[in-house]
Parts: sequence; structure tokens; C-alpha cells
Amino acid sequence: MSSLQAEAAAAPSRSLIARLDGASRAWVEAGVMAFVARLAFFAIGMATSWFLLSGSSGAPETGFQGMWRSWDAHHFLTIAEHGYTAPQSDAHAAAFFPGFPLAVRPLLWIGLSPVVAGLLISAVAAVVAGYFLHRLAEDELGEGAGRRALLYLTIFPTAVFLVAPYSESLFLAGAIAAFYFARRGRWHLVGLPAAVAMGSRAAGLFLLLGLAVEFLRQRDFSKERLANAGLALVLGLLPLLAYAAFLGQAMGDPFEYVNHQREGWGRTFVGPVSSFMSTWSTWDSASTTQTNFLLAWRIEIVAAAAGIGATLWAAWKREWGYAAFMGSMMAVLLTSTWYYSIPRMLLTMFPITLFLAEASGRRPALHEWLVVALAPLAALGVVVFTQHNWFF
Amino acid sequence: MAAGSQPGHTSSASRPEDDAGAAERPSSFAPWRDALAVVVGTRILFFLIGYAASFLLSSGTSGIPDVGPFDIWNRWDATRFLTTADNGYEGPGSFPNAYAFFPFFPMAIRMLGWLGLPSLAAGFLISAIGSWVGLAFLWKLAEEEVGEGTGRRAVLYAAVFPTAVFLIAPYSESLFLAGAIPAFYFARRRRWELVGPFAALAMGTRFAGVFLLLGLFVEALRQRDLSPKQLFQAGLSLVIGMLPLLGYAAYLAQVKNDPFYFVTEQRLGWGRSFVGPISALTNTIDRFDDPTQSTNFQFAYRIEIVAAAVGVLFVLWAIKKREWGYAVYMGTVLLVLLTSTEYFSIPRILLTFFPVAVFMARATLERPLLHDVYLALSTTAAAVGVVVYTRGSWFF
Repeated sequence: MSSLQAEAAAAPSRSLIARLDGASRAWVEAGVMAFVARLAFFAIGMATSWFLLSGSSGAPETGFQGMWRSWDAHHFLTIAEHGYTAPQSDAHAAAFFPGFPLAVRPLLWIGLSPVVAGLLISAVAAVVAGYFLHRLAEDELGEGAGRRALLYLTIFPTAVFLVAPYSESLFLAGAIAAFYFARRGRWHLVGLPAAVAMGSRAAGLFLLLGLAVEFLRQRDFSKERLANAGLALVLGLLPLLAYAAFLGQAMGDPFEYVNHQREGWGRTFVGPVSSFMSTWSTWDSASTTQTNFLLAWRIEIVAAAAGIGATLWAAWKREWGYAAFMGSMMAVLLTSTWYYSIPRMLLTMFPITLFLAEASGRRPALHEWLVVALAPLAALGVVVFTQHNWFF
Repeated sequence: MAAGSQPGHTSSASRPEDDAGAAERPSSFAPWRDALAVVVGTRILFFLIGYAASFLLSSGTSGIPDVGPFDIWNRWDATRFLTTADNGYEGPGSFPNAYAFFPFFPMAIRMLGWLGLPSLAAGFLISAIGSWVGLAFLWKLAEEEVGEGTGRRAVLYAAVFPTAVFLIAPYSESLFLAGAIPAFYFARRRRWELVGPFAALAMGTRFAGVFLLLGLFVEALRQRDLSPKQLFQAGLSLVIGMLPLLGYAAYLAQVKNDPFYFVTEQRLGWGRSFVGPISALTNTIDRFDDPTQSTNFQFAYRIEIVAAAVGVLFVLWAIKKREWGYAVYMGTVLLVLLTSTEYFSIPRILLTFFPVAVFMARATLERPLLHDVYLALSTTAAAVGVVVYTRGSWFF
């Protein structure tokens, strides 16, 4: 009837990307998403830094690099520039695992600025993580699931940390690849990515636990697999041992990592009730607590509930490997002096994106709602973070 | 097809062409259900984003923010509309240059006020209902002309357009779209007898109603084989559509001795008059580094240029599709914007270019990656708009 209708009939049935094979499509879509996300997040950060400045004229004082050197990004990059024990570094720098600063450092030698180097490492790692997430979803959940899982990760409410010079991207590149090979039964390939994850974040330990449970779940204990899996787990542990050895030598205590968590952020192990109550009661001092933190503490509680929910979801699906990975991480987060950065930690619980992609497979409306609900939260995170306000 | 909906056709078996029409048309319930879900969903989401931002961006203060979760939406023109609803166009407590704002939106707020609803709540409610009606007809427009599945897409694209904050805030865009989209929908279905009241609603709400009428006129010309009866109905509809403009002009002639006083107010309040397109462009570019402007406005003027370019592309898109009615509607709106003293609020006006949502739904029909990426990017931009607007910074 109308020209619009005629045009619809003449449309090509498949897009260019749909004609690629699985691996190429995963690389292309992971690359596109990582690239577009960076363009968008950089633009949001830049735009809001101008938009929200009503009291003065001219370009904002904080430029692009300063905007992204916020909170832990500054700690990571200072370690990359000067090392753990230099006076410029945070007194509790040992709390930050060495993988990310180590990856940034060679880029400084070739003359890149720390922020650019950090953003670059995060970008490359995000593409690798996206590739393996795409493959994992596509193989196990069917066509289209890869793109959806990848998108949910890219616009996760705390996705700003996949772009910023933080260690989450590098951790995910290792963690998702390790689980991908583990679930394919290719245990000889698990060790290296597991080591990347372990070297990047302490949460690598929970990943190794999850991988061990995944091995048990597969119930194939042939000699070769047993040897491969065992070797992979040992390999995965090496960065932890190396870091402990380094801390022992440089700071006199191999567990200086734990000490610095306590001294720098007041975090020790407490009971779950005490931890919850400490977080909950932040509202009691509402009139004196910084407005920014007041809501952040409340969001920690929501995120904690979401993390528990994700773990239960994994258990309900009998995905014991994923459940052990996420459950052990949640157990530690929920028994710390107070809830802290849980929304950011949820970003590393990549099985959530797989579960969501599975749930939205037959429900296009759910998929659209997820996109519409997640993207603005991610945008809010970018605004808050680049404005140097506390955002987990 | 319209015959199928007439009462009296009970024996559908004897009328196979009516059956075909019925099968082609999805449940009459679906557009209203989907549009309502989107209207409610986006409101929950953006109210949360706005209030969360008012906490998370406040590091220099302690305690709960001074301005409440809904009051943060009472900014810029919202305040002008609400004040006009409360105090009238002129007199104690009214805003200067209020005559620049067409009357239907503040009138509707005042009528809800008689029921005891506070102005802000009434403004939100009218925007919500206006969005619901507009989006439901957008759904039908896309689904019936482009194909299955495009209705919901078009609705989503419109509801998360980068300046979608103004579909939620007490602004007149929603009410305008509640007139403009059904008017075009019925015009394209050749049911010209229903076009008039909707066109009048749009015309009484925003001056852009004039350009809508122009677009509808061209749409009527495009439908070359109209029967004399339909031709008469089309003409009558356009006359009905003009009535609110004539009514407002008569009112202004009486109280201000100038039927075009709303144009005068544009000049008095915002320094806007007609200039050539080149000087409009250079005036806007001059604002980039104008030291009398805040960083906020300096940046906003840059976005105005981007929005102007996007608007031109939208019009070209309609021309390429030979959608002359849409092209004239959007083209004339843009023409006035680009020949005003400086570019102002163009990103917000693009929100009323509803045909683009239909075009987009068509473009992403076979491209799921494009659909995902566009939806995510557009929603992201909309969220930034919500944050900037509710923080009280200038956002078009």
C-alpha cells in the first residue's frame, strides 16, 4: 500500500554479519560493541562535564585524561608508573593485584600516557572477554544469544569499569576464556587464562574454585583430563604465589594484600549479620553522611541481594561451577566489615549475562526491556564516575 | 478497509476482503498495551535515574538532597507552563513572555487543578496520557504500514529518543504528539473525518501545529484519488485544525492588540526573529566561545548544530522515501528553526519528528545488531538528558 511497505518487501533477508562463521562473528560483534561503548562513554563523560558546568565559562578544567583517572584508576596507574613501594603510590597499594599495572607498564615505555595506556589495555581485554562470552553463549544457548550476552555485559550498570583503567576487563578476559575452555572440556587451555584472571584480581581465587567445581560437575575423571585440569589449576595459582613472594620480599609479609585491605579500607572479616547491619545503619547518620555515599550504601544492599539472587539462579540451573565462583565471591563480600563495591563486583560475575541471554531468548520484549533498563544505569555510572563522585 | 469496522457487517463469511483486513490488523488492544508498558516503564526508569543522580552527584553536601524526587523535574519551561496554569498569562505571579507558549497544555493542567490535583502532578499526568495516546497511534502507524514487530520498535525508539526527557517532564511535546500522530495516522488511512480534532489538539498545544497542518495538506494532495466526500472531509479537517490558532490569535488581538503577539514574545523573551540561514548558523557558532555564556550553554550550542544537521538528514530521509507529507511537516519546522536568530532547542524539537521512529523501525527490521546498538545508544543519551535536565542545567 505505502512506499514503506514496498521497501520492507524488498529488504535483504540477512545482514552481512549474519553470514560470517561463528568465530568471526564473535570477533566482529565483540569489537563493534567494545568500540561503540567507548565512543559512547567517552562522549557521555565529555558532554556531561560541559553540560553540568553552569557556574563558569569556557572548557572544563578537567580534561579527557583527568576525567578517567578517577578513584582506583589513579591507584592502578600510579603503581604502573612508579611501582608498589614508591612514595607516590598509595600507602596501601598492595591491595591492588599486579596484573593490570604490569600490562600497562610496557605501554608507558613506548611513550603512551598512563591513562591512554590503561584505557587501551581495558579495551583490548574487553574485546577478548567479549569474544569468549559470545562463543560461550552462542554454543550453549543458540544463535543470537552471543550478541545479547555481550550487549548485557557492555551496558551492565557498572560497565564504566570495563572502559576505565580498572582491572575488571583484564580479569574478565581471563575468567571467561578459562570457563569457556573448561566447559568445552579442553582443560589444557584453561591454565593460562585462569592465571591472567588470578594475576588481575584476588577474585581469581574464586574463579579457580569455580573451575574446580566445574571439573567435578563434568564427571569425567580420565587420567589425561585429571592431569590437564590439575595442571591448569596449579598454573592458575602461580600469579598468587608470585605476588605473595613479591610482597614477602618487598614488604616483609606475603599476606600484605590482606593487611592493606584492612588498613586502607577498614575491611576485615566479620559475621554476615554484623556486615549487613553496618551497611544498613549508614542511614542513621543521614544528616552527616555525604549525599553521594548515602545512596551508594543503599545501592550496595540492592547489589548484594542481586548477587545472592544470581548465585541462587546458578544453583537452580544446577550450574555448580558458576554457583561456586559467584557464591564464594558473594560469601567474602557479605562478611566484610561493610558492603563495599558490590555493584562493581557483580560486573565480574559474567554468568549473570549468560542467564539473562538465555531468559530473553524467546522473549524479544524482555530483551528490549533489559537494554532500555540497563543502558541508562550504565550511562549514570559513567556520569558519576567521570565527575569524580564515588561510584563503587 | 474502513468498511470492515462499520456496524452491521455481521456475516463476515460472505465478505472475504473484510476477513483479510481483519487478519492484517493485529488486536486493537496490542498498541495500547505496548504503549502503556513503555510509558510506565520509561517513567519508572527515568524518575529513578533523576533522583539517583541527585544523590550520586552531590559530594559537597551531606544528607538527603533538598529538592524532592518530583520537584527536580520542575525546571526551565516546565516552571513557565506550571506558572501559566496557576496564574494565567499575565498578572501577579505570572512569568514574563508567557504568551509565547500556546494555551492547551497550561489549560489542561488548570482543568485537572479543578479536580484538586497539584499543577506538577497534573503536568506529569497530561504528559503521560499524551505520550500514551501518541505512542499507541505510532505503534499502529508502524505496524500497519511497515510490518509485524515494528510497532513496538517505533514506540521504543520514540520513548527513548535522546531528548525523551521532555515526554515525561511537564512540557507540551507529549500533548502535541497526542494530536499530531493520530492526525497523520487517520490521514494516511484516508479517514479524513477523524483528522480534524487531533490536528486541532496539536495546533492548540504548539505553534508547530501550523507545520503539521501543512504536512497534512500535502498528504491529502499525495492521495490523488480521494472521493469528493473525502476531499470535503480533508478540507474541513484542516479548517478545524486551524481553529485553535484563530482562537488564540483572536484572544491576543483582544488583550494585546496584536494577533501575532506570540511571535512578539519570542523576540522579547528570547531575542528571536527571522534572519537568513547563514547568519543563524554563524550566530550559533559565535556562541561557542561567547564569554557571556556558561560552559553549559556553550556546549549546548554545539549540540544545536549537530541536531540541525540530524534534522536535515531526517527531512532528506523522508524525501528519499517520497513521503511528501512527512517531509513537508518536518521540513517546514526545521526551516523556521534554521532561520531564527540563533539555533535554539532544536534537539527537543526533533522529538516531535515522529516519522523518524517509523523509518528507524523499518531500518532495523532485519538488522538485530543495529536495533540493539541504536536502542542502547539512544537510551544512554536520553539518560544523560534526564540527568542534565533534573540537575537544573540547560538541556534544550
